[in-house]
Amino acid sequence: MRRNSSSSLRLTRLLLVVLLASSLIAVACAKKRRPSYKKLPPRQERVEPFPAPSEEEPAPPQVPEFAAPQRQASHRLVEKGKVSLQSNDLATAHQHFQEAVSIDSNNGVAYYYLAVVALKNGEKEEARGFLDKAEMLLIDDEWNAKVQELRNQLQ
Amino acid sequence: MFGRRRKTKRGFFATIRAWIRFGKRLAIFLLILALAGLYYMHRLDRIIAAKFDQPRKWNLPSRVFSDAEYLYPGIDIDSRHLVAKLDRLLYRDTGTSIHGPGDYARTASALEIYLHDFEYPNEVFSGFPLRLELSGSIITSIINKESGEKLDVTRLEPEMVASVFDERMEDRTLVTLSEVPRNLLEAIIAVEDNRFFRHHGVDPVGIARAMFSNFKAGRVVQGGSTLTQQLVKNFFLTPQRSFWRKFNEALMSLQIERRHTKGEILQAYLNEIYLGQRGTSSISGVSEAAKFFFAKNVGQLTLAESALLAGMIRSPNEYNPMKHQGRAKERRNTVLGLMWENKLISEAAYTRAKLEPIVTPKQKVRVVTAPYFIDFVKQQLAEFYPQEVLESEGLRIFTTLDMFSQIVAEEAVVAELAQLEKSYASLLPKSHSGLLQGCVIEMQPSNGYIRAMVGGRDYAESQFNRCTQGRRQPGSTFKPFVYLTALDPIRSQKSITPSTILDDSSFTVQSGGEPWTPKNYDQKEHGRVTVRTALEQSYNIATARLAIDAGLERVVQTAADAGITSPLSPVPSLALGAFEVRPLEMAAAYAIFPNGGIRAEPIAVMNVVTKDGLVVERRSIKMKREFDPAAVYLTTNLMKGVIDRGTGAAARALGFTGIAAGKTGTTSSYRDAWFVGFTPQKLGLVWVGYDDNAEMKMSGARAALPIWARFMRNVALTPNAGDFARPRNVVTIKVDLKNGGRYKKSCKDEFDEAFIDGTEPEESCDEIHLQAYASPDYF
Repeated sequence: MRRNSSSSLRLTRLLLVVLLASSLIAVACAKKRRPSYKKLPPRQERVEPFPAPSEEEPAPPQVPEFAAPQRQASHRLVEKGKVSLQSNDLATAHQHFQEAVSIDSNNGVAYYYLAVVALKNGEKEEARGFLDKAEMLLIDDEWNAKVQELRNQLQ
Repeated sequence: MFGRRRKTKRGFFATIRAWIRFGKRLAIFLLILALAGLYYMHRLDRIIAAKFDQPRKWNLPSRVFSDAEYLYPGIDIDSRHLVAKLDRLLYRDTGTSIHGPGDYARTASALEIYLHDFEYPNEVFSGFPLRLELSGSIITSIINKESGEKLDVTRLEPEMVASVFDERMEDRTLVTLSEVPRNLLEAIIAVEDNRFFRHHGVDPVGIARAMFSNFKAGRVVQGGSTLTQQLVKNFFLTPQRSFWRKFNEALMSLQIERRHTKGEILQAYLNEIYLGQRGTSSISGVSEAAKFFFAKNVGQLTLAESALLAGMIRSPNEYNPMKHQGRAKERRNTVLGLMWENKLISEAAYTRAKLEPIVTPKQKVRVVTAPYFIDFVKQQLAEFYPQEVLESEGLRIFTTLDMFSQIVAEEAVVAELAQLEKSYASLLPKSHSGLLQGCVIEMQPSNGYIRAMVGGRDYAESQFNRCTQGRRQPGSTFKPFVYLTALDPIRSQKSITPSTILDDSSFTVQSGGEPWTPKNYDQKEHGRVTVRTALEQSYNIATARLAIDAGLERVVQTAADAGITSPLSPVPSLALGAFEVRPLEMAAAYAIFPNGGIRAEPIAVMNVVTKDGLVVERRSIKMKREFDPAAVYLTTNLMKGVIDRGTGAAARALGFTGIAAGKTGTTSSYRDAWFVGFTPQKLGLVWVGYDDNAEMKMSGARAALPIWARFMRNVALTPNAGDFARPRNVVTIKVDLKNGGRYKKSCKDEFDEAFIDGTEPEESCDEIHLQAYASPDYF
C-alpha cells in the first residue's frame, strides 16, 4: 500500500516535471517565433514554366547618338538582370531592370524584362503594365513580336 | 557584603542580558540589513537582466536612404554637384591621389574615388578604386583602377537621409569584437583601463593610483573607473555625479563581471561609448565614430586613427578632429606614446603613425534634409512598421529620393519665397500672421519615383506637409484633363483637334439650380480662338465650353484615370479646377503626359531591409496604360506652347531653356498659385499659398513659376533630354499659329502642329474664319 502510494507520488511528480518542462519549452518557442514587429515574409519566388529568354534575341533598338551612353549604361544593367534571371534570382533581376529604367526611361527592353519577371512572380497585372510601356517604346517589328508573344501568355 | 555581592551578581547578569538584548537587536538589524542588501542586489540584478543580458541591448535607429547615384559617360559631374555629394557621403578629399576606402581626388582630367563597401538590398558591394576620366566636367570613361576594366556604368552608394531615433537620440552601428582592429582594442585598454583583464569590475589599484595622481596634481587628472564601470554608467545610469550613482555603478560592475565574459563586456563597451555629437543626435560606439570621423568601416582604421579614437573617449568634444585638429593630434600622439611604452607597437610603427596627417571628411553643414519626405515615408510604412519599430529595429529603408534634387528644391522654396515677400510685399496681405508657404514635388514620370518633396518652408516651424496633406483648388492646372478628354475621340466622342475653334465669349449655364458664368482672368472675352490658344492663354470661358461639349462626366473619368482620387463632381466649374486636390495627386496625374498615357503609381519606398540584411519589403514600380498615346501627345504639345508662348512663358525669361511642357494655375481671389511642368524625364510641381487660404494677389506665373524654373534649371537641363516621343499615328503639318488653318505663304505665323493622322484641317489659314466651331444649342 505504502509502496503504491509512494510510486504514484513519484509518477505525479514526474508528470508535473514533464508538464512544467514542456510548457516552458512551449513558452520559449512561442517567444522566439513572435517577432517584435510584423515581419513580412520574403516573397515566395514561384518558378513557373516559362521559356528562358532566347539566346538569339533581337538587337536592342537604336537610339539617337546623344542618348547612346545613357542607353549603354542602362543596357549593361539589363544584361546583368538577364544573368540573374537565368539563374532564377528574380529579386536581383528585378532590381537591375528597375535600375535600368531609372537611368534610361526609354529603354523598352528593360520594361520588357520587368514584365518577364512580373509574370514569373505571378503578378499578371504588373506584367501587363510593363508590356504597355514596352510596346510603346519597342516599335521595331521583332521586338514588337516578342512583346505580343508575352502578352498572349498573359491571356 | 553579601548584599553587595548579590548586587554585583545581579549587575553582571543585567549586563549580560543587556548584551544579549543588544546582540539580538544587532542580529535583527544585520538580518534586515542583509535582507535589504539582498533585495537591493536583486533589484540591480533584475535591471541588468532586463537590459544587459538581452541579445539586443540597444534600440537601433532605423535609417532612411536616398536612391543610389548612377554614373556613366556623358554625365556632367559639376552640374550634378558630385563632389558635394562625395562630401555628404563622408568621402575624404585626399588631394591628387587616393590611397584607401573613402578617399577621393579631383584633378583637371579625372575624378578618382575609392568606393565604400555598401550593403544594398540583395547585394553586398565591395568598394574598389574608381577613375572617372573627364573632359571638362563631363565623364568620358569609367575605369576600375584595380582590374583596369572599363565600365559602362557604376554607382555611388545611397546617402543616409535620416535616422529614426528613440528619445535617447543615439546614432549607432553595431560591431562584433572580431570586426574591431587589434590596435583599437589595445589602444582603448591602454588608455582607459590598463588592468582590464586583471580586475573584477572595480579596480582598487586603479582607484588608489588615480587618487594619488589627482592628489599630486591638485586637480582631477585621472579617473579610476574601469571599462566595466564606464559601460555601466553609460548604459544604465545618468551622468550626474553622486555617491549613490558611484555606489550602484560599483555594485552593478561587479555583478556584470560575474555574469559576463571580458569579451562580452568589451564588445558592449565598444558599441556603447559616446564619441561625439552630430546635431541633436549622439555618435555612439566605435563603428559609428569610425564612419563619421574617418569615413571608414571600423575594420579599415589605421593605427593612428585607432589611437585618436581611443584618445577621444575621455573628452570627445575637446579632441574632435573636425574642430580641433591640433588638440586631437596631441592627444593621438600621447596615446601612441602610451602604446609604445606598453610595448604594444614597435618604434617604427610609432614613428610612422605620429607622422600620419589627420584627414577627416567635411562636416555636414545641413543636419536635416527632406524632413517632409521622411514623414511621408514613415506614413507609407506605418501599417507594418510603426514609429516604435522604426526607433528600435535598425531597419534600413531605401527610397527613391534624389538628394541633389531634394537639396535644390529646398533651397528654391526658401530663397524664392523670401524673394517674393520682398519684391511683392505690397500685394501680400498686411499683418498676416503666417508665412507664405510652398510645396515642391519632383517625380520621374516613367516609373513614378518621387525624387524630391518639400512640404513647407520650415519644418521646425510647421510639420504640416502641404504636398501630401494639403487640399487645395487646382485652378487652371486642372485644364489639361479637359483638353485630353476633348482631344481623345473615343473619350469625348467628338472630333476635336488643336486647330478646332472655340468660342471665348461669355455664357451662363445652370449649375446645381444656380446660374454659373465663367470669367477670364483678364475679365475680357477673346471671341473665337483655337484650342491651342485657349490652353496656352488659359482662357476660362473657352475651356468651360469645351468641357461641357466633351462631357463633364467624361472629364471626371479622365481625371480619375490619371490618378486624381479626391472627389470630383461633373459640374461646369470642374473644368476650371474648383474641386480641391492634393498636390501629390496632381503631380502623379500629370505624369501621364510625359509617360505617353501610361499611369505610373507614385512610389517613395523601394525596399525595407532588416539589420541582418533580410529584405522584408520590396515595392515594385507599377504602371498601366490608361490613355490613348496620340491624345496625350497632342495635349502635351499644347502645353509646350504654354511655356514657349503662353502663361508660362516667364520660364524662358527665368533661364529655363530645355524642351518642356506645363500649365499655370491660379485660383479665384489669388489664393493658390500653381505651376506643373515637365520635360520628357522629369516632372516638377510647385504650389504657393497661405495655410489659412488668405489672398496673396499673385498668379501661378508670378508666385510658383520662379520656384519651378529655378529648380528645373538645376536638375532637368541635361543635354540628353530629347523630345517627347511622338506616336506613329500622329502627324505634324504646318499651320497658322493664330487660327489653326493650313499654312500658306500669305499666313502670318508658321507653326508645326500635331494632329491624329486623318484629322488635319483641310482649310487654309485664309479660309478658317468661315469654318467656326459649331457651338451646341445650350450656349
